[in-house]
Amino acid sequence: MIRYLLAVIILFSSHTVRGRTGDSWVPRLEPLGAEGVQGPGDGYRFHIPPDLPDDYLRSLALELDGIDVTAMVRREGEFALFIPTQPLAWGEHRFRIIQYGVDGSINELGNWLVEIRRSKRFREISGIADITITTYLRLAKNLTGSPGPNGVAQGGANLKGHVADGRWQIDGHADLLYDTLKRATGSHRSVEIGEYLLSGRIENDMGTANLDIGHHEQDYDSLIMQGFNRRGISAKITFDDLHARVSAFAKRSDAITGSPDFLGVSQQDRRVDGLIVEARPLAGHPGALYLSAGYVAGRGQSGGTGTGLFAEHGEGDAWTGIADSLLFGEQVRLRGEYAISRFDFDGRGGLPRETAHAWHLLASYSPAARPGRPYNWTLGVENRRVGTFFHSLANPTLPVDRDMYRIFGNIQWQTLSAQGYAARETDNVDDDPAFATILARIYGLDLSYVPQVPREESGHVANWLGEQEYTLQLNSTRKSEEDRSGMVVADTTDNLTRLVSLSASFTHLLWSLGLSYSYSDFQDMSNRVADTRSHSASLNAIMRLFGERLLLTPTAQYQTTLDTDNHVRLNNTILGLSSEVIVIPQRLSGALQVTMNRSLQTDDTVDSRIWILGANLSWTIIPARINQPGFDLGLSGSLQNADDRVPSGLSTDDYQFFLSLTMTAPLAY
Amino acid sequence: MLQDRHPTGTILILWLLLLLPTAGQTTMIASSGNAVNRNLAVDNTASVRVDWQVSSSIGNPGPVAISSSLGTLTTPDGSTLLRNPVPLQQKTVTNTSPQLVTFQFSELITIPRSLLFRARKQGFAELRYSRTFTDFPDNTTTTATATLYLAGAAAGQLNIARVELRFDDGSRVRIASQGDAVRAQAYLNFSGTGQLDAVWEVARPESSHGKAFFTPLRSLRQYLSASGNIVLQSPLLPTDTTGNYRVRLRIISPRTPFSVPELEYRIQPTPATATPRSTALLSVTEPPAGATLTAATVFRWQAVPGASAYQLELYEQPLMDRTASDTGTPVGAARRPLTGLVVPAGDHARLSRLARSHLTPGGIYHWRVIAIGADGRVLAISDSRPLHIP
Repeated sequence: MIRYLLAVIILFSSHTVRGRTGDSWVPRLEPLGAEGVQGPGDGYRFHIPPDLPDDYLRSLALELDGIDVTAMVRREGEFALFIPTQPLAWGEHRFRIIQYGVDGSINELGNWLVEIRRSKRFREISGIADITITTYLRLAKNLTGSPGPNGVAQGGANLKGHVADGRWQIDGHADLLYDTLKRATGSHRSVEIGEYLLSGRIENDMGTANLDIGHHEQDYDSLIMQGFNRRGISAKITFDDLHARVSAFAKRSDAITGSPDFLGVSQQDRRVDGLIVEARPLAGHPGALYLSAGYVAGRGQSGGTGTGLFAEHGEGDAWTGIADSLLFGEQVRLRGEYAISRFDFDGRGGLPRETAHAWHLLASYSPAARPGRPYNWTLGVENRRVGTFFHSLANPTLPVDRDMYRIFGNIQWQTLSAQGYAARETDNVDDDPAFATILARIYGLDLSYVPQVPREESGHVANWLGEQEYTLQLNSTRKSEEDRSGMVVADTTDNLTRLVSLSASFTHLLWSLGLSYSYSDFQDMSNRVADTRSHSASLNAIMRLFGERLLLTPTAQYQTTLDTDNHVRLNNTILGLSSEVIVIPQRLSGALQVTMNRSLQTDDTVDSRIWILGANLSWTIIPARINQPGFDLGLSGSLQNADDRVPSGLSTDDYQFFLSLTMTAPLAY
Repeated sequence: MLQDRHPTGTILILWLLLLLPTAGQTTMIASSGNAVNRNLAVDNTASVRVDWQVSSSIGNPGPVAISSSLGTLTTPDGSTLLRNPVPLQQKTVTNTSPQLVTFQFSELITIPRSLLFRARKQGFAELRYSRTFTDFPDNTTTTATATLYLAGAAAGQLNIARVELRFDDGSRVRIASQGDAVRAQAYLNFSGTGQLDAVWEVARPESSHGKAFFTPLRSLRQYLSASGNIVLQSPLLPTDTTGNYRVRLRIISPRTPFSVPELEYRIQPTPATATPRSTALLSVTEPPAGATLTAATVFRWQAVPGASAYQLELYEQPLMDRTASDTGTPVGAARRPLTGLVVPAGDHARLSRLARSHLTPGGIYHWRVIAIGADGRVLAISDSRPLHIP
C-alpha cells in the first residue's frame, strides 16, 4: 500500500517544507476536473519528483475532511493519484497533507480548500421529474352500484429542483396528479397539484434566513402547536451571535391540496398566523438555557384532506412561554411551559371567547455514559394540565380537560430496552361542581430485546432464527370517580382496562416472519356497559423464492371478543396471500393477491364473508431510461364476492378487468 | 325495522297508506327514549345513539304506521339548542285485533361542541332530546324524551371526535415508488372509555380506478381509555403495483358523526433517477461498545460482498440507529464525521496516528463502518458504538 498524496483547486497553500534528504519539496494539488470545474467524482493528483526518496514518501499521509484517505492513494508514473471512494458532496472540502515525524509529531505540509461545483454559474443545480401516465380500458365487468366510465386515465409526476451557490440555496418539490375521474385530484380539474414546498435559505456572517412556501411543518413543539403541517408561508431568521431565532408564519387552518388557495393565506376565515421567538441566552453553554415565546391567532376549523370531524368554525388565539435547560453536563433536564388560549367555540355566535390555561412541567435525570458501563438509564417526573376549554388551531389533537402526573423511566442495557411509567390523571380540571372528577390510574411497561447474532462471511446470519426482535407491552388503566358533588347528575364512571401484547420477528436474507398476540379486557364496575375480553393473534411472512423471482407474502389474523355479561362472542378472521413473480427480468412480471375476511357473532347479528381477488400482468415494451420514456402494457382484474348474510342479507359477485398502457418518463438535469 | 331518512318518501308512503281502505285503528299507549351513552363530554363534539320504543294498541286489522319528523334538543328550561329534521318512520300490517304492537327506532345524533359549551356556560348539567310520534290512521301523538348529561372528558363511553389520516412522512397526498415502505397514520381524538373496532383497508389499482374493492389489511380492537388521543399506525401498505391506491381506517364502532376519511397514494415505477433508499446492515465485531481506544485497538467487521473500500467514521455526537432512509454519510455531506479512515476491501483496520490526533483525551466518541462499492455507492452501514479515549 502506497502512502502518498494529492488534491485540487488550491485556495490556500501553506508551508515550504524540507524533506529528510534536505531537498525542498512543495506539494501542489492538480485538479483533474474538466474546464476548471471540479466534479464530485473527479480525481486529484500531484507531482512526485523522481528523486524523492521512498522513505520520505512513506512518512506522508493525506487527509480529506478529517478522514485519513492515504490508503486509497496510488502511484501513476510521476504522480500520486487520489480518486474519492464516494462522490464528494457539493461545496467546500479540505485536503491536508502531513508528515509523520520520527519523534511522533505530525507536521502539516500543506492544506487546500477545494470546491465541488456543477458549473461555473452555479455550484449546484439539478432538476428531476418522474412522470407516469396510465390509460385504463375496462374490458369486462359485473358490478353492483355505479361502475364509473370504462375508460380512465390516471397519472402523477414527482418534481424536484435544487439550485445553490455561495451561501444561498433554493429547493423545491411538488406532486402533480392527473385523473380523468377527478377523484384523486380532489377538485374539478383533471390535472392538479397535490402538496408542494419551495424553500429558500441564505446565510451571512450574522446568521441565516429561511423562507418556506407550501406544505411544511412548524418546528415548534409546544402546547399551542404540534405537528402543524399545513400549506402556507413561513419565514425564519437565525442570529448566530445572539443564539436566537425569530419565526413568523401564516397558514391554512385546515389541510388542503390542489390549486385553490395556492399559497394557503388568501382566505381570512381559514387562516392561522403565528410568531415564535427563541433564544439560548447563555452563550458559553447554549444547552443550559432555552427560552421561547409563541403566539398563534386565527379563524377556521382543523379538518380538510384526510380528516374526519364534525367541522365547526371558531376563532381565537393562544400564547405560550417555554424554559428548557440541560444542566450538570446535560444529565439533568428541567422544562417548564405555560400557555393561555382564548377561543370562541361558536365563531361569531353570541358567546364570548373562553379563556383557558395549560402548563407542562418536566424534570428528568440521565447519567452520562461511562466507558465500560453497558447500560444507560433515565428517570423523570412530569405534570401536564390542560384546561377544559383550552384550544389552539395549531394543535387540534391536544387532549384537553386533563391534569396528569407521571413518573417514567427507561433503561437501555445493550440490546435490551425497557420503558415504564405510572400516571395519575384527572379530568374536570376547572372544578365544575356539576361534573364528577374522574381519576385514571395508568401503569405501563414496554420491553424490547434484539439479541445480537453472529454473521457468516457471506453476510448471512449464522442462526436459524435469523435476526430477532421480541417485544412485550403491558398496560392497565383504572378509572373511578374521585369526587362527586350533589349537583352531579351524570352516570357513574368506574371501569378497568388491561392489555398484554407480545410480538416476535425473525428476519433472514430470503425470508422473514412476524408473530404477535395481544389480550385485552374491559370491566365496568358501574354495570352500565358489558364486560368484554379480546384476544388477537396475527402472522405475517415474506418469502423470496427461485432466486428472488417469486415473492410470497402470506398474512393471517384472528380476533375474538367475548361479551362476558351477555355471553356473546364476535370472531373475525382475515387471511391473505400476496405474490409477485418476475417471469422475464426487466420485461414481464405479475402479481396476485387473495384476501378473505370472515366475521361471525354468536347472537346471529353479524355473519359475513368477503373474498377479494386481484391480479395483474405487466409487460415492459420499452424500458424507461433517464430522459427517455418507456412504455408498459398491463392486464389487471379484480373480483369481489361478498356474502353479508347478517345484517343486510345481501350477496354480491363483482368483477372487472382492465387493459392498461403506462408511459413512464424519468427526466433529469 | 325500516328507517326512511327522506322526508318526501315518508310523506308519499303516508299518503299511500291513507288511501288504503282497510286502515287499522291505533292508540298509542306508551313511548320512551333512551340514550345508549348518556354522558356527554363537553370537550368534544358528541355522537349519541338514542333508542326509541313506541307501543300502540291496534283496534282493527290493516296497515298502521308510526312516524316522527323532527327531533329536538333542549335545555331543562325548554330553550331549543338543536333541531334534527331526520324523520323516523315504520309501518306494519296487522291481521288480528286487538293487538299490542311495539315499534323500535334507533338514531345517531351529533351534538356540536359549541352547543355543549353553550349549555354548560348557561348553567345546565343535563339536556333533553325529544321526539313526537304520530300514528296512522288516527293521528294521535305521543312524545318521548331521552335525558343526556354533561360531564368531564373522562366520563362516559368512547366517543371519537376527530380522525386525521396522514402518511408517515406527514403528507396527505403521496407519490412513491414501487417497493417503497409506505404507512398511514391515524390521529384519533376521543373522550370516554371503550373499545375501538376498526379496520385498515386499501383499494388496489386493480379496482381503485373503477369500483373500489377495499381489502382489509389489519383489524383493530383496542380499548381507549386515558389521555384523549392516540396515533394508530397502519401495516405496511402495498406498493408492488403501479397505479393509484386508496387507504382508510374504517371505524366500525363507535359510530362517528362524519364519513370515514380516505387518503390516496400513487405508486410509480422505481425511477431511473432514484438513489437507493435503504442499505444493508454491516455487522461489526470489535471493539465492543464502550471500549477504550489504544494504539493496538483493531476495528473488525464482517466483509460485505462487492465492497471495494470501507470507511471507519468517528462522530462526536451519538448517531441515530441505522434506518432504512439512511444512505450513509458521503464524505463532505452536512453531517460529517469528526475523523476516520478509509481502507481498501478487508475486514479490519487500526486508526492511524493522523486520525487519532483529532480525538480529545477523556472524550467519548461514536464509531461506525460503512461499506462502499466500486461505483461509490454505500452498500452497508453498521450501527454505531461508543468508544472511550483514555
